[in-house]
Amino acid sequence: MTQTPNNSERHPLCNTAEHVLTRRQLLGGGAAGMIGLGGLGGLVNPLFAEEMKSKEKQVLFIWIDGGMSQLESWDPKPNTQFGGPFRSIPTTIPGIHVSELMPKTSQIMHKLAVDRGVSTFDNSHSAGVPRINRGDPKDRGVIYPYFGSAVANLMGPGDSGLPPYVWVKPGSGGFKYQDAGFLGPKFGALAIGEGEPPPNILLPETLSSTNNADRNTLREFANRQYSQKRPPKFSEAQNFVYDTAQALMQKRSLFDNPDPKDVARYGDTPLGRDMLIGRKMIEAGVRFVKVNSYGWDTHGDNFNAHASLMPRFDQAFTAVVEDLDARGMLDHVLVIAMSEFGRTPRINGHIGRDHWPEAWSIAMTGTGIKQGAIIGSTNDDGTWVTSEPHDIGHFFHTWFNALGIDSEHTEYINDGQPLPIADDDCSPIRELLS
Amino acid sequence: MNNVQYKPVAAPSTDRQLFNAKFSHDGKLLIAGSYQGDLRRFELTEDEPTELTPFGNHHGWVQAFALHPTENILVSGDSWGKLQAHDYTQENPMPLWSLEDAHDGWIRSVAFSNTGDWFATCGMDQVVRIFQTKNGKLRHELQGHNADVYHVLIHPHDDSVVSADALGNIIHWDMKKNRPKRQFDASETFLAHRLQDVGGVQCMTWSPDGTTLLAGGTRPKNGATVQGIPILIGFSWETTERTFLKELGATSDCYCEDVAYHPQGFLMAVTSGTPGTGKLQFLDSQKPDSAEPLFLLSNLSNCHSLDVHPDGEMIAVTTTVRGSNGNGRKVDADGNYIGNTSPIQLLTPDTPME
Repeated sequence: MTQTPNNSERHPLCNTAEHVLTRRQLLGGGAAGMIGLGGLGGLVNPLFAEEMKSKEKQVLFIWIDGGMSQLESWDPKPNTQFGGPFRSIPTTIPGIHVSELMPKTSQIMHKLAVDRGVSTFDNSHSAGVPRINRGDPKDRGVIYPYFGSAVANLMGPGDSGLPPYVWVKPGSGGFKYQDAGFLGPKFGALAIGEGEPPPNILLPETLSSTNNADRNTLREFANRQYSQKRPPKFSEAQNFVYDTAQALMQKRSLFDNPDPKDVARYGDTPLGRDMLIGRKMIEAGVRFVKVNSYGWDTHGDNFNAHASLMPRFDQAFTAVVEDLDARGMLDHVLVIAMSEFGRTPRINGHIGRDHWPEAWSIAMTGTGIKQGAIIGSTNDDGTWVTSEPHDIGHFFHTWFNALGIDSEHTEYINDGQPLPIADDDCSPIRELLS
Repeated sequence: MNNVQYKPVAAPSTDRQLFNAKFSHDGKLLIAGSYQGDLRRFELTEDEPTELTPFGNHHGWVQAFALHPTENILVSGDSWGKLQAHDYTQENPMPLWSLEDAHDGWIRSVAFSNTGDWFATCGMDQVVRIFQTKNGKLRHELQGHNADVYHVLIHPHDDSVVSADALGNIIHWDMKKNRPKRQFDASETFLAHRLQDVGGVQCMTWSPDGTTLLAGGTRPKNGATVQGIPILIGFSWETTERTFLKELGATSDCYCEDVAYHPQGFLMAVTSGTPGTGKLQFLDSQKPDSAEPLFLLSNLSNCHSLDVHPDGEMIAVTTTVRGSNGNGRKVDADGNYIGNTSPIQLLTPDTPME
């Protein structure tokens, strides 16, 4: 059964006062103007919430939708039955090779951590995408939040005045509340589609500031009327969307035309464009930025596809890591690059690779991560993990810890129901943590 | 040729997937490059094709090879850029010469000149190169493509070199000036979809009289799991103008992977299919864009190449295993991971040709 936060449905065994505190009570009313911008609500322990408010850590989450082939990227097996046509090349870490399709990444390998021993369970997109993004927790009768919503909730929006969870993607934009799960709609993602700001972000020229203020007064009155007869989550979500729009109106420059030099470095491609916007969002202080790349579900013509896809990833990924490093931002920004699964070692009749959760790779760098840690291993043919396999739950623990969150002792409080923030059968991968 | 009918008679296979299977000039051998660094041979003199010793100390994929027009020499190129020549009739062929870095990466195609004195290669480094056959010495380097060069071809009369790339650009090279002389537009075989460049010219051939250049590929619909309508485009060699465009199937039939003229005069093409299974079809060479093929065989699985036996009857179509696709683990009874193979379908006419 799906359960959303609702004080009237509190867990019967849970009576402590902190569990029934509302988000507004915790924040003491909140800062004027940005009250609705997520974070640190009644869904986490209040002492932890206060502690996290002071942290400035951020996340750049690069989602490679459809499934990047580990064999054409992080874990090449050249000259083997399933190795494909490509060579491997040395990296800045002696003895570590990556696919020849990643020449730029190979030169920053010492700044990265890669786990080649990832083994998950879902081999379909429909199940794999949400389960991976939610950390595949045990079924507790609630829909867990995506990682972005979780971080938005656990760490709050910070001081940027911007929404805590921004999703930069090809295609349509808008507010994607579905990511938030039981945390409630306001912890959803504000999606920036095709590099364009949300429509109508600027006030009409014919609207004076006085008239705008009057309209806002009327809107707030209507909101109060609306919220009196409804659960807080509805009015909070509505306020959140409006406040988000107001915040972006003050940051219109985030969508200005990029510096041509940056375009050249990131690549004049949709991923290059979006990665550059992602960097700007991080620089502006957005807590969690997800940058999406589509088109990786290469069941047919996998090798020509990766020959085309990988250089675009290689260029944009390397550029953003180098930029964050040059600005000293890897000290407080966690960068993750991953898909919902890898691709089959077997090369099918369409010269493609299918879905393969059994043995694949995840890359990361930045705050809390041990640079140069290349861990995990697969066998010579790349078919199975030969090291201790790591499920997505291990990574959620690892990333929470990298962000300063004790994942084994921090809980969500969902209407009085304490819930672990990551799979309690898993634990942090210590070799990846600095 | 209205009643031509072919049927599969044998399907030799190896423990590794295979590329373009070709018959030797004497018709006794069937040779194919493999997905793991060697070339595989079958002897065809017995009732059942018998696999001989593999050869070629290659790396990665051996997608590109060609047979010398008169001698028992085979030149092969691999996906790491290595080029070699062998006498393919030897029991354990040793390299006549070897170039480790003939190209920077994936060699896609090799074609011999009419005398066999030299040959052309092309590949992922966007370059076409001309080498001497006897020693592998580089004679020309042709630059002008802006993408991976998929196919190279030599004109049957005057040794003109043409090459085709992933963007659908076909170049006729001026060998004296080492630069493009003319270009043929097959750009509808290309699509920039999301992050991915899709398509390009997959195959080419000449009409027997050398007046028509044929280019095969797909009209792409999307990237990732590529789908598209397989197409075959004819160009006038004299004018570069397009003379016909034939759609070879539906969107799920995807790429036209290979095309050739049969000695009997009709045109043959194979498609690979995604998610379909591909087809073998014969077309009227006088009216290739006519609606109905002379012959259509749709129960082969993902056809990737074809070749005609010197006897003018048997043809070889490199295929894959039906059902080889699928998510997640497929293991045998002993728990071993199951790979794919490439049965080479040998087909003969129902009734001998005249």
